[in-house]
Amino acid sequence: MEKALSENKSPFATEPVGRLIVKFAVPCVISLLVNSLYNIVDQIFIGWGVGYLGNGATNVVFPITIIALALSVLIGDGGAAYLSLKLGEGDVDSVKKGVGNAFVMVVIAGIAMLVVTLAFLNPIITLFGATDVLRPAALEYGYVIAVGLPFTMISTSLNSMIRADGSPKFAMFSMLLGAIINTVFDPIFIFVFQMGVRGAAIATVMGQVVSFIVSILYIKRFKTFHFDKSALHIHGKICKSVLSLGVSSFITQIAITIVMALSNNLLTTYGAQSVYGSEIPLTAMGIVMKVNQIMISILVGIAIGAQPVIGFNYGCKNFARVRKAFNIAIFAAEFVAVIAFIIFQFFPMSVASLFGSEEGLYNEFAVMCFRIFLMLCPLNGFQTVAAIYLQAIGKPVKSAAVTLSRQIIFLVPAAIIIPKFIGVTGVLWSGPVADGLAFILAMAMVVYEIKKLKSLNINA
Amino acid sequence: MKNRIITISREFGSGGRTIGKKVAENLGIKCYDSELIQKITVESGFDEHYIKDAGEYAPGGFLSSALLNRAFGPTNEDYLWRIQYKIITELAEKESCVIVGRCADYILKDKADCLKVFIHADMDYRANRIVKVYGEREESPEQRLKEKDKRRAAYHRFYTDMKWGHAQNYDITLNSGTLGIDRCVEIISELY
Repeated sequence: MEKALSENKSPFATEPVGRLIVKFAVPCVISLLVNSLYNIVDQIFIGWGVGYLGNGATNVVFPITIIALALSVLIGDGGAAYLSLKLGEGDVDSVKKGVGNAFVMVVIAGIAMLVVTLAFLNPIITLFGATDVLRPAALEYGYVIAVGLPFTMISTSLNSMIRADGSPKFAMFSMLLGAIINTVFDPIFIFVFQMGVRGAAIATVMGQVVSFIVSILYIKRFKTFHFDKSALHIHGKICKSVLSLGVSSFITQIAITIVMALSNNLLTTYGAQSVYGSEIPLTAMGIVMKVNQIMISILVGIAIGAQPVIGFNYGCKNFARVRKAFNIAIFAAEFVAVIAFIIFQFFPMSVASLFGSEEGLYNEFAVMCFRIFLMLCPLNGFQTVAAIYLQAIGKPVKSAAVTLSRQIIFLVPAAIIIPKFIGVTGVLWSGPVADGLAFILAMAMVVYEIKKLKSLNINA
Repeated sequence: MKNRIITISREFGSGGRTIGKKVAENLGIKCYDSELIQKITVESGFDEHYIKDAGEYAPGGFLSSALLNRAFGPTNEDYLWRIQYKIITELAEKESCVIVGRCADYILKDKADCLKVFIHADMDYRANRIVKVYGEREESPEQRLKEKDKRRAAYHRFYTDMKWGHAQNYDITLNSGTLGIDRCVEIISELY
């Protein structure tokens, strides 16, 4: 993207829109998929090797991982953006200081996360919905996962900056290697050594440490500047710039944590009053969210692929190409979302049984999660592309409103209110309610912007 | 030796651009304004009107800056900033000139011998002036001024470490409303 942009006759303005989107979307989709599969593979092995209570235990620890991820993208994406901005000014010294300061910050954040998690793991998992049944396994899993936090945070941040340095393949390699190590050692620890959730956690941490080592090795090889110790001197101003550039990535991740913590708590509270009990709803929903994450990854990947095409042509005021790119992205995203919808509605049991074969009540609830919570998932295709479209045409506040409306603004009140009337299934109904309302909001904003585009087109 | 450059930052509607042009005429040097936009247009491939807006104004105020997501690559503004930065640097290396707006004061801070000027005026003066120069719009002139100033300040806050319009960033600040445009031109020319 960097290279293409700096050329005068930009391919963004000339090459066929569809081909451009495919070119940019495919690598995005792959790297996002690897990330979401990372989590799923773990869950599959735990499901078969330990049972659904094992999945439930990891579920209440998972928000900690997301908080760690949020901090890593805050620092890493911020550092990456700072790197490319300062590079544009030819200010190599600032590039070096930016990356160095980001590195120091993420090391400090990583150690802080480690200390806080080790010291307060028990109250933290309670906050995230741990029940007494899940607690022993969750603690066992959590203490090991805590050790991996600094490693995964440092490598995630570094990888963002490595991508910005012009080595996306290296960043990908670091991530993939970690995923492979995790996948290989998961079954060994779980099935061969019978180590249960602790085994899964050890395999995860091993993968994270390997990614960390690979990413660290890159530090000496940054292409845009020569790394030396002076980069590590902290400058308040630079740290502030880096963090402010990463804030929007951070907000998205923190939103996920809040929703997860809330939904875990609601599911266990209302679950306890139902035939399903506390653990079944919590676990089933965790699995369903992770499966849904695969669909979301593909949708986001498609939208990200379209972003530079939309943005550049918007800058050229070539609105026909903007519309075309938008339409193609919507079509592709909807195609994926509808396939996902068909699978979730008609074959939910096949998906659920990937995660181990369980008793009747568990299966029943898992099927309900797929059918109810993800009922309006076809609308997600439009929302995702709409959010990125608004971002690309320079409407960041509207874009954030579209994203957060689905994840928080509509979902949280719906998830709190509906179960008061119909119990635990009410938590599931918050999904379609939020998706539906968020869709209307996204639609209204996009229609407004496209109308404005048309009027600009006439004036131009 | 470094070239002597006059950079003019200005509040929207204060007549900064006109002052820049007249100063350049007075001194017999070039004033880069529309020509600068032209160069950026050629280099970026973007539309001229888009550059006029996005090359100097953030999409909105503080909230917009915070929510602009760069995780998936640089924004259009970043791309323009890079080109603008390069072209302004090249111009300053080539000859003495007047450059209006576009953060030239920040870009050239170590690269040229700059006379950094800030032109401002009170709301009424500017409101009258923009209606005269740019015509009536749907929004009231006051709204337009506030919006433009807010976005200019946000742009500066983001791309430079200078606070737009704060006296300590400039060699001289002039109120074109009380001094009048011609007097401003004289003062700046004298300082050059």
